Amino acid sequence: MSRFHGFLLAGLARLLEADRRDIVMGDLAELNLGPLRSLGELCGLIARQQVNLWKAWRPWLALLGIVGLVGIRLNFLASSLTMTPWRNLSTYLKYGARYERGLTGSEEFIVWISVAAAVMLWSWTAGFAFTSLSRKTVPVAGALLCLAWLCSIVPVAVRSRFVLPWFYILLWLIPSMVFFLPAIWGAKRAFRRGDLPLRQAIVLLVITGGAIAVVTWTSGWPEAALERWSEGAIREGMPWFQRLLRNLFLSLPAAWIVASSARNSSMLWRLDR
Amino acid sequence: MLGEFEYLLLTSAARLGEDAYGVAIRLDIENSTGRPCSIGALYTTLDRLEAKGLVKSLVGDPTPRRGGRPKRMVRVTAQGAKAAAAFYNTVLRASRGVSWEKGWVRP
Repeated sequence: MSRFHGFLLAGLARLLEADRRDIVMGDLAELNLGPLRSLGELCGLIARQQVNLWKAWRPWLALLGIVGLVGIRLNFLASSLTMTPWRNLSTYLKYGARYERGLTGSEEFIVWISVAAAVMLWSWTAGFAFTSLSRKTVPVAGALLCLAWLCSIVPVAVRSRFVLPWFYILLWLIPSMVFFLPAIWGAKRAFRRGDLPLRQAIVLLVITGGAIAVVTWTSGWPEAALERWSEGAIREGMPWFQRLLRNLFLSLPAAWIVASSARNSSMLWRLDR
Repeated sequence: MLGEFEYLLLTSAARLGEDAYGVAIRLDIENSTGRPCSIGALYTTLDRLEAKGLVKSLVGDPTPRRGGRPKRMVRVTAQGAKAAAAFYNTVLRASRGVSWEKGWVRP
């Protein structure tokens, strides 16, 4: 077995559960198949296991509910984080002045930091709930997500013919990291230590709700400032309840974490009795 | 009712007894059927049988031949033996009065 083949096999075997991994690798060593056949056998096992796992509803809820619904909204919010520094930077580079939209510097900062902090919190809960919903499908679903993310990068890079200035790329990558890194951290936490204790889960839900309230409130500031500046001529603002509804489903992962912890607590309580 | 491969797996595990584990079962099935048996088919079927309570898995001792990695030992449960017997009897009953000798059935 060549070093590369061994590395490839070990990497693929990581998609199997830890206890299963050693047994399968032992079987392959004992069978002493050729490099291609052993890779084929391992891929076949992984594919069959994944097909079986995806017959359940949980991986689909994780993929459609967490990634499809919450993930897309979070990605959008994370991307919107680029807008303020980007506008400020490009206005400064062109005209040597700050980009003005009616908010004071400190108000701009509060709006930006509240969204950034909330995105990090919601991404953590989304990553945690994603893993908690379907732990065994996480490696494959995660790989598919990374692929989808790369597919979204490639057209941008190709269109720009790889000549974008470095700060453009940074401005684009940083928000993605604001979204991705906490999500990976949350997923890792759920993967290693399982569900949160009920109290912690409830605290998380309350903080998530608080973040929704804060972002709903601060996201109305720019429109209000524009309305003030135009003395009522421009009224583009969305009513607060619409903004709240748009953000409300970001609490779904935290609600799932609470429900899952409550179910575990009640099972433990029954076992104790 | 068991599937064909489930029956083959149970029969092989019963035949091998104490020595029934992944690789041994695979080789036994390949020898008795003359068909290849993949690790994927073997382990997904074993998982299914275990979920139905027809077999029990244990972690066996590691050997140097396996690079010091453990084996998945398989034991047929009483329920598994009953299911295999039911499958076998059904095939016997369904085959009564039929011969698959060449020329017996006209295409």
